[in-house]
Amino acid sequence: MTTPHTPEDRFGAAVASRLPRTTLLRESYRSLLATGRTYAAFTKQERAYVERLVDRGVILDPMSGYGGLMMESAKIGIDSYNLEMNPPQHLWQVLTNRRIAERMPGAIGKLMSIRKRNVAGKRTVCSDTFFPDECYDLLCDLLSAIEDVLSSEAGLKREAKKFAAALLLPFSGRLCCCTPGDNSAHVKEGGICVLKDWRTDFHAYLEVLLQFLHRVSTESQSSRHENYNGDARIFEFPKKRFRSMLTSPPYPNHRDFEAIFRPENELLRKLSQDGNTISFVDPSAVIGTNIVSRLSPSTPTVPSAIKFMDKISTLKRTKQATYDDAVYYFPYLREYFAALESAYSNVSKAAASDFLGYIVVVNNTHRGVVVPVAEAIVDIWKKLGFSSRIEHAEESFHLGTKNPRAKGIRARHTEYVVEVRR
Amino acid sequence: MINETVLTNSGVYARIEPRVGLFCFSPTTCLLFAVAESESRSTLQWLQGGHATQVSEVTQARLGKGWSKSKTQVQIEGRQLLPSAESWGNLPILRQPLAINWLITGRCPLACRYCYAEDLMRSRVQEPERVDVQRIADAILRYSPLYVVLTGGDPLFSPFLQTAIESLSGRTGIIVDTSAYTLTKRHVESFRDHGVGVRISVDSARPKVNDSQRIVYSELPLGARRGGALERALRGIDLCLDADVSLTIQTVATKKNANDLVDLGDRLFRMGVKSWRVFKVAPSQLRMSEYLLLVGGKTDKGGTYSSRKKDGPYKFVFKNLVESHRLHWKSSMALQLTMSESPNSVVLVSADGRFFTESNMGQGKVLIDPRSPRRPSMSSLATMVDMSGHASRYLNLEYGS
Repeated sequence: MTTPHTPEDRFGAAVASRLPRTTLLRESYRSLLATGRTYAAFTKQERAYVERLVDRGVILDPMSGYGGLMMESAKIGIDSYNLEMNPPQHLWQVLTNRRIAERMPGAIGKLMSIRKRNVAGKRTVCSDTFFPDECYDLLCDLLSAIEDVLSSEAGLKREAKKFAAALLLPFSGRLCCCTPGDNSAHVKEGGICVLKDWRTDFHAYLEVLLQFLHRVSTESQSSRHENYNGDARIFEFPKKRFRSMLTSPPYPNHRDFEAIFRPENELLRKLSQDGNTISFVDPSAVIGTNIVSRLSPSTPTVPSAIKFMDKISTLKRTKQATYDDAVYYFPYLREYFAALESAYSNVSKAAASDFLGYIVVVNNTHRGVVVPVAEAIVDIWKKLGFSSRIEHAEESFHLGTKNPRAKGIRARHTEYVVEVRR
Repeated sequence: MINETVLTNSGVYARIEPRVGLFCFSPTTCLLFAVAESESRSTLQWLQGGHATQVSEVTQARLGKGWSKSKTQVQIEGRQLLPSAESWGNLPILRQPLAINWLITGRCPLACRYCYAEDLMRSRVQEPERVDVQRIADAILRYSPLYVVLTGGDPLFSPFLQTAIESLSGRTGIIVDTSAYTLTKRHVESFRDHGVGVRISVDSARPKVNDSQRIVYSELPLGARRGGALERALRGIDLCLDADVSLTIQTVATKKNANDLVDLGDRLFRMGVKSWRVFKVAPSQLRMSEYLLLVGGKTDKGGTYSSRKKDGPYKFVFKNLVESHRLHWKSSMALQLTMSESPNSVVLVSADGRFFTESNMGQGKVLIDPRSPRRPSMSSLATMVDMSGHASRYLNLEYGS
């Protein structure tokens, strides 16, 4: 076993021991609590780019995921403007925003002392749905208790339900009937929810969260971070406000962020249907969703994407591969490129006259052909009247791949940083 | 000559095999251990109430008097060889069976897709009378097994389950294998009073996957249907844990549930289950097409299953299970793995009292001694049953191999 060297590693190791896999919290959140990051989150290499944007005011991240940019920019005292379409990721940002994090310790302490009911006599519930009645009722009880505490202890009366949902969501997987997906960050619906000792796990979660938020509060040098839930393709950004941007879009690797957080999205949907005043944008059409039947037919217009689509449609394929391409891969890739065009076109309206942005992206492969995401992004921004170029490229392997045992071209992924200037 | 199984003062069943070692079965955990010969006499004395001075700490901790430590402190890891796997130069060479499976009835509320016993079930076998049950119990005890598994069918469907338990009680360890579909508090109390361990089958935490492998029998009367197999199994688990009856969960790993097993293990661990046994699905002559669907892979043009692929889903999953056990579960849950390629490593007694083993030629069940099907000779047992496979199966020798 290796000894953790950095304070971050030591914190991660401590969390791993306090919140092991057998607490049955979902892996994504255990990872976020331990390291502040999980699948496809901000990496150390990208921090360097934050420093290039000092003195340019608020940094924009229109596809902000778990709020990695917010964390990093806060450390060096820069404010950020974060938009995220997927509600669970947006709520994680809300929870870890320094402004909220600072108010939490008293409320969390109070929450640790509340006694909530258990489902009488039942050790387990099994279901083919995420939240059978026993689990849902328990979560509703918890949500209302958290809301009360946040209103009274943290002074978060306004939007208390939203903050309560943000605090409950990382734990909701513990009271959910779900099963980790096959070799992927996705999750399967249905499973056994172990009701026995859930309170112990809730306490452990609160303890770890308290430490995490304390770390966030002490490391942050700035506190003006705005978090919005919305679709970058249609969101009304403040016009010409931002002089800098650092962002990373979802990659076309068939990982669907809505699916990664499907239980949490399902809980939010149920809560909203039951008259709770929490409303979020519908995440089902998140960029990169792999449920192509939801997508409206669209076509990319930039040269690199068109060339790529032409190339893969002329490949020699088996009958099965031709069918798969027709019903899934082609609509998926077409929609992906079209969605990027639409999103960046909307984002560009928020760019000030001396705008400088960096976009981090990874090119995967499809049937042995490199998917030119970076090149398409360069083309999109050029088409929008910006100067754009690939600033940095680095070969990496097994990064973001669906199959970690993939070899050769399938395992090849190149990470690019695209620079955009006005 | 047959070595006798004795019930020691500690409650542990023990059998010394000269020049091999001591075999012990603890009804508290329903786990079987082999103690190396160098420590066997002193361990037996200790189990009878003597001093523990010459018994290694590992042996004391694993075997205990029942459990010498509280259940939550016990860590069962790896092969069930004491004091360590290294103290055994070779596989224990058995001269008589460690365990015998008694298929006490052919009736069952479920029709599991992988059922290996279909050829000894339902109308294919005659249901016994009370007097037959006592006679069969006596015949089984002649071979002095460390424990007898009352199975079927579902033994809860036998009107003579209690008779069988009373006939065996105190003379050998008893385990009841059940789907728990009809398990009641009354059953569980009787099991506790007689020191009977219960093994309940659960294949997946997802009801639709579990219930598609463990299907409710189509001819089960509508009045007897009480929901899906998983829901009933979980209720049975609750009953056993509440009554502090020794409980093992059994899981058959197939292509359909393989990826969910690690998560199932986490959940069993948190439910308070102390023992989990995972099998590779065994081929059944009567249900070969379903076996192929469950194990995955393809047959060649002649219909023969490709041996190259058949372990595909298992090696990866079993490796993950062992890793998870070492990292997360060993503090309070034992893990037994049976990936045995040796079909004839089991001794099966049908409801009508005949002794069978599974053919290693794919011919289904074969009589161990056709000349004396109800009392096979020891020599035919040794010839027909793969005793090294038998040891491997019951002493968890495939863990981490």
